[in-house]
Amino acid sequence: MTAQNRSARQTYLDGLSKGRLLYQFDEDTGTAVFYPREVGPGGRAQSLVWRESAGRGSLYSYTHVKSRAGDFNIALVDLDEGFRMMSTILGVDPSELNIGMRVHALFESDGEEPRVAFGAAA
Amino acid sequence: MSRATALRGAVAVAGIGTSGHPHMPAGSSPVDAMALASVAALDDAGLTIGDVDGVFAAGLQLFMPTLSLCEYLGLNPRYTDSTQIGGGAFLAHLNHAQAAISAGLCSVALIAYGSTQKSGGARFVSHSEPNPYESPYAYPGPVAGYALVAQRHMHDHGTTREQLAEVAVSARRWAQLNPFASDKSDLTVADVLQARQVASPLGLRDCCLVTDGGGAVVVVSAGRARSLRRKPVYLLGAGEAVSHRSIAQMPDLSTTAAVASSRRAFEQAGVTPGDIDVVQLYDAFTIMPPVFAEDCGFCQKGEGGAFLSGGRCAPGGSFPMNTNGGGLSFGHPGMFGIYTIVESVAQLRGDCGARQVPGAELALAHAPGGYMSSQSTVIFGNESTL
Repeated sequence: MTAQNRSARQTYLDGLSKGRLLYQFDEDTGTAVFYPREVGPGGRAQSLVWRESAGRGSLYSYTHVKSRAGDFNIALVDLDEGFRMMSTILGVDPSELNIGMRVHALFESDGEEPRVAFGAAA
Repeated sequence: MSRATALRGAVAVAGIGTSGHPHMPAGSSPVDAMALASVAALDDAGLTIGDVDGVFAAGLQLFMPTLSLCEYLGLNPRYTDSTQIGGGAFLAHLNHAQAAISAGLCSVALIAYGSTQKSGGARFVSHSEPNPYESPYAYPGPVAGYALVAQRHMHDHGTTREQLAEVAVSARRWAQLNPFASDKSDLTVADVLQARQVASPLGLRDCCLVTDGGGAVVVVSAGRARSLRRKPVYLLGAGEAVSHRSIAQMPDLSTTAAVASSRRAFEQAGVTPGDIDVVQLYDAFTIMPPVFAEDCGFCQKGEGGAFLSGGRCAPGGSFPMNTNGGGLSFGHPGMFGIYTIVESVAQLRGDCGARQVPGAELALAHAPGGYMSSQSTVIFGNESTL
């Protein structure tokens, strides 16, 4: 049992604060893993290594939400490294959103905690 | 014979009860709704609260619902189960109750739910924990999760908004035959399509009604059920499956773990989809019944939208579905699963009046939980199916 002096969550957040999208790779199963965690899908805690995503991916699904606080979208993005995350697409008209469109990561640090959003890739 | 197959018909639903529909009096608690439904179900079975020795409950407003119900009714059960896997939890409770009763761990199982989601208004607070990988995006919960599923299903399989609208229209037509349904007003495909958008591609009429309500069922051994006052409705098969918690972790948004849960239920029951006479496919949102019709094997993957169109699932159609009006028109008190059981039992008893499916002998109820996260399927039959 090795001492854990930093949680997976904290490592992820530290990456975001520096504009880096970190994810884990499970060496036992050969799969990308997201959200950050302490135990890999093969059932072993020591099998996870950190990697950095290039921040490029495609839109897997989306919904445009109308609320009293304003309109926004919820997106599921498949990153090219093989993991999926919930996010939002910024700067794209709702009618232009479409499944499969290429997107790239944008880092926002002005909220309560840093987050990754995505914009349309050129 | 597998152990699950050995339990086919081992237990039966002996009593059903509902309460508080569409709303409880102001100031009511969810335990009030649950207790009213519980005593109604026990009365239906010809049993009393003193007979109950197994209690199964789940809730959105109650953190420890079995404890709340036992305290309220003065129950001292020897077996309890608070499994919370979302709206379909009560179908999973049925699976657990058949195991517990068959193992001798309890003899009279009460499965109950109660909600004051409507009358509680702004005071309604779910005890579901926030997810730090969703909250930065103001993910609004179920409607957005099922909208993501709908968008992807439309992309993968060509499902149309008109096909989804037909699900809502068919539910409304069943509701018009049910005196207890919340919304019996006329509804057309055009009404559904023109309704205010909530989360694309879903509009307001693609979404369930927010109501209060309680529901309860009493489950006993088949032998005990035959000695009670109502015709037993036997549990022939039950299946559960779990695939994720957050919608972002769902492996394939177009295909759910209902494939596995329904296979398990059909295997235990020893019947096939074509044998089923009446179906309840949980409809908090219109996308759900088409996906479940596919994943439970009633049609091919991708054909759910077309399969449920053209009046097939409406009154008089060849696939009677959500015959109480469903979550879309009967009412949806936060978790609807208990009503899929209540309606299945009522149909197999032949008690459904104007909405009765003539000669129904086999019924299937299917319900998910969370964001297509858990899936639970149960198959019931009357005496002739044993």
